[in-house]
Amino acid sequence: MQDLLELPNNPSLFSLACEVSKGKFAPHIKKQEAFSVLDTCENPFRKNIVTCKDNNIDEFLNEAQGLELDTILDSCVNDLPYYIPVFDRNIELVQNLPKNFPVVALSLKDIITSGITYKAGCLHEEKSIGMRRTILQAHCFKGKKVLLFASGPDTLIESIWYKRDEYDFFAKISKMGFYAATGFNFSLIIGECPFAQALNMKRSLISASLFEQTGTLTIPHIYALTKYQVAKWCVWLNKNQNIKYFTINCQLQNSWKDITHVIQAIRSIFNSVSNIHVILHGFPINRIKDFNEDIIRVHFADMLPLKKARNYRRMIFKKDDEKIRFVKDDKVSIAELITDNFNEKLAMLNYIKQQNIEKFKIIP
Amino acid sequence: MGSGTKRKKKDQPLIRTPKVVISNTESNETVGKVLTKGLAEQAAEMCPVSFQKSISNKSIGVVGASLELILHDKRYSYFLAGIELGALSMKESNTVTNCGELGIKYSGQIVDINGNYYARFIRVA
Repeated sequence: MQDLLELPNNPSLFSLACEVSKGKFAPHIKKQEAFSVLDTCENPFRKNIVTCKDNNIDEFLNEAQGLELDTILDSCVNDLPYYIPVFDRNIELVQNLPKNFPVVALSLKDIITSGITYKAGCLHEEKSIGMRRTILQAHCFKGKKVLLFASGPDTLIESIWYKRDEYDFFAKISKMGFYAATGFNFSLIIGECPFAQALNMKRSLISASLFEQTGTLTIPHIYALTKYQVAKWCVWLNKNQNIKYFTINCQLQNSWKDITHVIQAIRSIFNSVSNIHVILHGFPINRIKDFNEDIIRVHFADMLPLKKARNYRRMIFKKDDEKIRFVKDDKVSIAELITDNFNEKLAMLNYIKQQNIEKFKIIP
Repeated sequence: MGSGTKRKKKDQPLIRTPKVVISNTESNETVGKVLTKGLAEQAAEMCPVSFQKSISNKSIGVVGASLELILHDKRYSYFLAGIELGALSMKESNTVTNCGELGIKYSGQIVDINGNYYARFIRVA
């Protein structure tokens, strides 16, 4: 199988125009990382990313405290379950799940009342950011540890990041009572400027640190597209041995190749960092088996069972072909269906995990 | 957003220069200030990522067809293959003009939303 973390052997048309190719950001970004550049780094309006050619590059570097992954995290999150149900803002119909779900989660967009709006086909930033500060008092969270996945579209992430001091964002989160919050998922896209990617890796780490500084345990969010980026994270993880989990938001990776890329990056990290586990948010069901013997180090989080239940769809797992089917069921309440679907998903994950354990003769 | 091979067209914020935190030692307060307003900040402030206008004459529209914005007496009208479908308001026209001066253009297309046709314009930065 092709190693998707390897860089191309030769530069592209755009590589030599990238400042990375001149060694400007060495040793944090290696010159050869510019080989992966597939588009111009000219981005005067700073659409989605901050590139190597930005006029205000120093201000971004100051904010991120440089490109080196040298931020120490002291958080110690332990004993997370194999499967974490994710809820959304519409929690009225969600029951308190049984004890086999000790941890549940919310995403950033669901604790925000305003911040972004969808109109005319695009996400628009709103002027103010409102927060559902009492959301964790709902019945469905009673007795549960609640994680916050600080992930979402760029428009939301960048808006909150820009206004974080104005809205005292991190302090407000710490008062809401989350068990832990993940770092922001600043995006990394294949073919874009390696400086932009390195900056976003560091910004994500800094966001995790800001959660910690305001009293919330944190779980770093890790994106890595190349073997160099994987190596940087491995060095960081080995220096921060208290970190037992990292997380990856997988909701953008749709193609087979993108998912394979994620799996290769994770398995590469597992090879270099012992005892580290990953929490995958929104990972496709049909690729879970591909973790092979590493499956015991992978945790899953998603809201598919909730979404399906809202549409009166019961999830049924068939062991013979290891697939989930969605069958219309309007005979039970949505609340009941939500609980049943989460139970079915957990049963499916446990079955696949057990199959892999037996197949690869793993001693858990 | 994520990691992967392509971005979503609907999610394209312009990233503004970080606010610099200034501490007021007398009041013990910290305030975030924007020290410089570059192109990205001006564009993020002035130029909405998208807007749309309804098209009343459905017979003329082809979903997905590109639209052309042409300025007539300070107001922009939008055309499909030379046929005028409608005009932007003065406020929208001013926005397009001012954003154009910064270097931002708008790309127009006909879209179908629940059976109604709209001329949708998306920022090209």
